[in-house]
Amino acid sequence: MSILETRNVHKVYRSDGVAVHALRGVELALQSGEFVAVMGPSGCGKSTLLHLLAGLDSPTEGEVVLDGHRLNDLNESRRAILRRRTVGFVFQAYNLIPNLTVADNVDLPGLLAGRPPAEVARRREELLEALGLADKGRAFPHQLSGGQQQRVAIARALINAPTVLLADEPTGNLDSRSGNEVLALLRRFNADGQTILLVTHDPKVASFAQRIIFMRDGRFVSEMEMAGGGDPTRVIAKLVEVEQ
Amino acid sequence: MLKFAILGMLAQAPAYGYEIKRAFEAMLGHTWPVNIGQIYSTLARLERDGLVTCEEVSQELLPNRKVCTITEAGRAALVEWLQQPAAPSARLRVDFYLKLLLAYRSHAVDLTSLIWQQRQTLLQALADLTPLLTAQDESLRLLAEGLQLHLEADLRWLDRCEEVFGASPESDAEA
Ligand SMILES: Nc1ncnc2c1ncn2[C@@H]1O[C@H](COP(=O)(O)OP(=O)(O)OP(=O)(O)O)[C@@H](O)[C@H]1O
Ligand SMILES: [Mg+2]
Repeated sequence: MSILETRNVHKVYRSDGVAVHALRGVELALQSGEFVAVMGPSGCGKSTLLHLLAGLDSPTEGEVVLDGHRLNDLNESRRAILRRRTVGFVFQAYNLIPNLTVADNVDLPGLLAGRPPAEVARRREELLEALGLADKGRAFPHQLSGGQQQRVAIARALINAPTVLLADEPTGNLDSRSGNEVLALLRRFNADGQTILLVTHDPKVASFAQRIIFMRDGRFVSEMEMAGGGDPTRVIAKLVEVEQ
Repeated sequence: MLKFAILGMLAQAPAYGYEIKRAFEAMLGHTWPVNIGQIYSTLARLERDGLVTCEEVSQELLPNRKVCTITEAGRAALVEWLQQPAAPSARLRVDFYLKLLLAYRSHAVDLTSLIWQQRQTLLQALADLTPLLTAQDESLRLLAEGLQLHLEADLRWLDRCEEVFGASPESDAEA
């Protein structure tokens, strides 16, 4: 079942009489349970697309259908309610609230969505555990490393068990090791059923997805399905050059 | 290189052929099997050159085996090898680059699809590596990270090829 769709989506930004055509007819169909990466160079429209998908901004033309709801048909407050229930968002820059503890940061969207505090706390404990942050609940964001902060941001995005997790360069500020760890965690959540769409310019990041969609100049131009399940040792043997 | 790998194994402790094979393969996460014949022939050469000494040890109910020990000369050869920087391995896919240039000049095939196919091949290789990037085994993980970074460089260079050769993505829209 398609849980997130766009139909001929265009976005034109206008400022000071200059028009920037950021999206030029995007057609996306995201199926439940998928892990998709949209990959393209800087400025091709990835963040713009993600904001439209989350209902944070509206297309100039075309429509976004989120969990069966046409976003164009909803007013801002109904859209906000739908968003809270169905979308988890991870930003490149973590965007944690500095004077709240890790636990409070994670809980916030759950409480805003009106869930019972005890249930929110239980889910937060589960998520922090799964993300290797079980002992960090009382810490403040500035006491954590970048990789840890990004994992907190993921916990926060998942607190409402969203229909889809949207992530914008989720490892943009991390070194390659912590980046790999964060992506492996996303893959684990996906294996447990979480639908994920991330956007990135980085092929290392995209390679964790099951499907990669290539974007150029506001359009999808190509895509590939990744073949899974190769024998890891054979993979390395194939890539390493041995000089005898 | 196997020669120095064997010296390196023997520098830790004396060992016989199968032990060397097992330890060497385990060190690289079993990614790179060596055959026992190669180990024996290399050991024989090392013994002839005075870099190791081997001694028959008898075993109950089993055939004798040769336990080898590194010599002073062997240690010196190992140290010399270890101290030499490895040659830079900034290997471009020359075969791919050649194809690209020839496709560009001969118009024999579509340049765009050539680049996209190469990109997909590299991305699949990156994807194949992902399970190893969080492997428990530190040495294996480090090896996988090295390969990941090399593939990333190849992909970035491919982006440059696309820019320079002006492969237009539109023509690939139906692919
Ligand atoms: N609020 C805005 N007002 C005007 N132009 C904008 C606005 N936001 C984005 N743009 C323009 O739209 C185009 C797409 O921007 P977008 O941020 O979606 O790109 P991106 O693919 O996310 O790039 P990056 O990889 O650098 O994050 C760019 O040309 C950008 O300058
Ligand atoms: Mg962006």
